[in-house]
Amino acid sequence: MTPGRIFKIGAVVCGSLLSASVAVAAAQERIPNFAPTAGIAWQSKSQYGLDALPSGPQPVKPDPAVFKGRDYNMDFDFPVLDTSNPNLLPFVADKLKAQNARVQSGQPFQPITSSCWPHGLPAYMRFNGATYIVQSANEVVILKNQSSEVRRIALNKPHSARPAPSWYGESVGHYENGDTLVIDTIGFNDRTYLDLWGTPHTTALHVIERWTLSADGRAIDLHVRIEDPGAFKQPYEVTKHYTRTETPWMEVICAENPIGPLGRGPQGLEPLPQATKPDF
Amino acid sequence: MRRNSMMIVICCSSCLLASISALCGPAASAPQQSIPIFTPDGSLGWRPETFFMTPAPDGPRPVSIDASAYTATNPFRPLQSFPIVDLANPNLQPWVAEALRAQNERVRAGARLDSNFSSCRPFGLPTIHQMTARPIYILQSVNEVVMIHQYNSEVRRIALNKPHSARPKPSWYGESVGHYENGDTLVIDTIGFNDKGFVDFFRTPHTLALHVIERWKLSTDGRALEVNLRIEDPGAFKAPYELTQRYRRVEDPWFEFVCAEAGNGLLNQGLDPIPQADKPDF
Repeated sequence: MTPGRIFKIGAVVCGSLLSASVAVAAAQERIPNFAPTAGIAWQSKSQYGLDALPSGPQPVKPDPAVFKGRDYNMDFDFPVLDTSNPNLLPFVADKLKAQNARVQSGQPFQPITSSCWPHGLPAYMRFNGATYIVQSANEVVILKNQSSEVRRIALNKPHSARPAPSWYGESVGHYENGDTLVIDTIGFNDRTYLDLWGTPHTTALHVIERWTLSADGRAIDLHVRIEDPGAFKQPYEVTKHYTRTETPWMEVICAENPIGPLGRGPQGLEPLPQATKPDF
Repeated sequence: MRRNSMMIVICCSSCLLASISALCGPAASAPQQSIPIFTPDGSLGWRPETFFMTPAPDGPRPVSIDASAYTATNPFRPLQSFPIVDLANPNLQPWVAEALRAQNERVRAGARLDSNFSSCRPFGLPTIHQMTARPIYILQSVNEVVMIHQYNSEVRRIALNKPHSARPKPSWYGESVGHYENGDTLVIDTIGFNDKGFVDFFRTPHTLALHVIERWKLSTDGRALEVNLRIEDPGAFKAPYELTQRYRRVEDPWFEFVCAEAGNGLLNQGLDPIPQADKPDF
């Protein structure tokens, strides 16, 4: 084969691949650019991290009878939850009732993240601080300040036939309408909670997220659908509104506990128990 | 035919670059330079080949183990043995040599000498290049490179084509900026480290002045990476030294490894049982 012939083959291969990739890009017209520069982050002021819809099946919420006259404070109050939510299957309601009884008898409640275990979904999105979205051609990575937990979303791939259960499950995604990233996640283990309040789920959990960038590129509306026929009678939906910020990336190492005992600040409100003699 | 396949690789790389540019927005994609594509598929990872990295032939040596402390029946086991290191290295500043001497004594006396990562602290640089047990995954966007280590999802973020901050806040992985060179190399410059980490698995300490320059060069066939490291820290070493590590491409699908679980951890192989209290503390 002559060098000229090789060049022609190379050029044809190159040309067709290039036109294929351009065609793909053209078909999608454009995709949302969540990070025009590396310092761009997204933050929110959502009261409970994720907001309920005005109607339809509702997520688990704090019991309004207990937090009468004031808001439940996500950062300082141990949760007492409304177990009359009609969407809960009995095992969820029973677990939360037992947990309420513990909290009301004066026992603390800590989410698993207090032991540096992962948040899982959709609890990950309850974080209101800086969240970063990094996009490459075949993958999206979501990162947040305050923990080194990573979400990896493979683009334009089907789910595996049998994903190994994991804390963040198996996420696949694609872009829609030029402004939205759609993420579909299955393959969760059943060790995380759906929120910071201990609401359990089963391994059948299926989470569908739609991250829509506003036309001016300064806001994201996140829409999350949670399906788990083992835990809820019907799927339910929650939302979150992010605004764009420039927050430098900050390492926070959970094992160092840099924000104080149990994440509750260095005020010494809740000192860690100390042993007075060695164990062994 | 070899040239032919090379040409296709080059073409594919350009196409991928074009896709990245097309997908990630025209504003940031102005420089149409050729870049190495480390991850043509998201499930591809990179695994370091050797625990002991290769020093430059003529340059200062890194800290290494004291070969006389180990025998055929008691060999040094990378990532397992508590290290007894060679104190004769002439490149160490006195306080570093003293810290290592004290550490050697502890190990000789039978004490444990765990790494930071035994308590879920980050590896830091350049120690992470010695972590041969698990792969690293590299994601390239137009304006940054993200490296995710499978061990505890440790993340390095490298901003592309940006200068360093005037006063970066000290952190485990420091502040990394990078750029591409020669179409096949990613150059990363990192400063702004805290001084809680070590430069290697032998617990060689460093100061806040640590400066690490990495050159990640992709092989022509895209199956190997050669990483050249230059480690400068006048507070800890008399002269900068250089090391080389080779990475090989692996098809290891991503899985979560959560340090806090110690699920299949190095400390949980039954060899070294975790102490248990037989009664509550309080």
